[in-house]
Amino acid sequence: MKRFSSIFFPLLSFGGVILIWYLVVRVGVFQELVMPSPWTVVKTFYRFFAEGEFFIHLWASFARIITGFFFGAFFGVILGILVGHFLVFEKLLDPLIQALRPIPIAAWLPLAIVWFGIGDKPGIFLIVIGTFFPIFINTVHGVKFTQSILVRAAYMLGATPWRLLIYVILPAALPNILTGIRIGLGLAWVCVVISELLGVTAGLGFIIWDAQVYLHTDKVIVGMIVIGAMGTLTDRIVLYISSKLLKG
Amino acid sequence: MEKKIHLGGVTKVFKEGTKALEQLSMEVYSNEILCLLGPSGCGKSTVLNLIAGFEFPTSGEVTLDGKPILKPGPDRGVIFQEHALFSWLNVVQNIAFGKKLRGSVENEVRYGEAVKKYVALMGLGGFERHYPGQLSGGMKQRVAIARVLVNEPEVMLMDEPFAALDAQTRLSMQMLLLGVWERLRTTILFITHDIDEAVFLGDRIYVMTARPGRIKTLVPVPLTRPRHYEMVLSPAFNETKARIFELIREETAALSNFVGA
Repeated sequence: MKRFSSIFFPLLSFGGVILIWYLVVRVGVFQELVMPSPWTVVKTFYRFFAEGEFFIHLWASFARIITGFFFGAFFGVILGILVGHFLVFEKLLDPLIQALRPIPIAAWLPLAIVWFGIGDKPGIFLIVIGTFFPIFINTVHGVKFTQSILVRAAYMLGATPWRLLIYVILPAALPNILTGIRIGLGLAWVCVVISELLGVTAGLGFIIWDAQVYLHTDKVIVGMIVIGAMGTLTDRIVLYISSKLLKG
Repeated sequence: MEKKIHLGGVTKVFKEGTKALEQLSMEVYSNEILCLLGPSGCGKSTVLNLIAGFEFPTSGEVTLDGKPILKPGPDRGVIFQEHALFSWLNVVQNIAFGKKLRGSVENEVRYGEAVKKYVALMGLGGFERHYPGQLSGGMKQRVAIARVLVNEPEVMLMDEPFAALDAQTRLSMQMLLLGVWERLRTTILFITHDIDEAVFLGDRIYVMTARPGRIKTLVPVPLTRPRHYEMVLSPAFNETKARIFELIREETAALSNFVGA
């Protein structure tokens, strides 16, 4: 019954939305140009895959995400450990980082284009910024709030300050770090779509901005669905890796 | 008997101004089980933290084998009230943690032997690959004790280790601890607020005053070793218990008079 309901109810809501969508278009509330029928979208979806165009754009976005996410996560974790563990770094860096944090990611785009021109670089920069903050903040929290009793336990078992950091504080902070990585990866998809508004010729974000110019709304919807699906897929991969790392 | 731990005229005032200990002096002898008993908030845990090297006295001296205590170390194993195990390591990895921290790779085979010995001694066979989250409170404390014993400490400092356990588990842990002590004769400082526990386990009992903590009286326990559970029904046990009860009552009465005035 539980299994049945977990399949049946989602099917019902998805089916319902598609049915309403179909009826709205069918009755003629919108022009086909503004809102294509579900069937048109399915056909576009098929063509998009069959012509191989899809993979070029997917890879273009994905490469930017991987690069940007790698640097964002790298700096987020390293600086997070320094700020969380060493008071000197907290005093030195935390006010600066907290001052930069409220600036919305999209507001960095104009500057990014001035600095890095057109092409992949502004997007990668945006992703680095977008992923850095949640990973940094969660790492700081995890490192700073490692239970003091675990720190005492490690010292009385013979840990040096350096080994304490590696063998106790980092593993204890790992759940927080992984939470930051999940949030960061979600934001990376936001960043990539925003950045592909300007100055690129490939990418899932490029497709929807480009198709919108030509009023290919079917293609816009296909692009949105693919971005959503890819976001879900990458999130599940991180979730799976987290559950393997955090066993026990 | 040889003095293992010595506290001489120790006063501890915390940063915020609370005076936890005042002119406290006590000795722990080699190979004994010494119980430190007192009303809650009297500074029992502060005594343990000073010996462990987690905190330092405002004045007075704390020594182990005549040497002042400067920092925490594996020669003074601590059993906390909460188990304080590493949740991401399994039972064997938790027990081997201290050895691994300090050892080199070629010693790994020897750790294996040592870990096995303490797994068996603490009755943890069959639970080697379990994670702390999968263990009951009593089993967690067994791991915590094994983790300390594997370092072959000079003293074991136990801070109300069985207080959070149910009555039956507590009794079986007390018996287990006595059994282990009979075999290893590790010096133990055992902190508790439970009079029965102190009399059942201890060779000697220091009764503390209410805050600021000082030693009120030293009570030797007139029971022979090895201890058996039937001893709790003996006149010697109950006379000791009655005497300590009266001492503690004086302290709590003093405290409530003070509050009343």
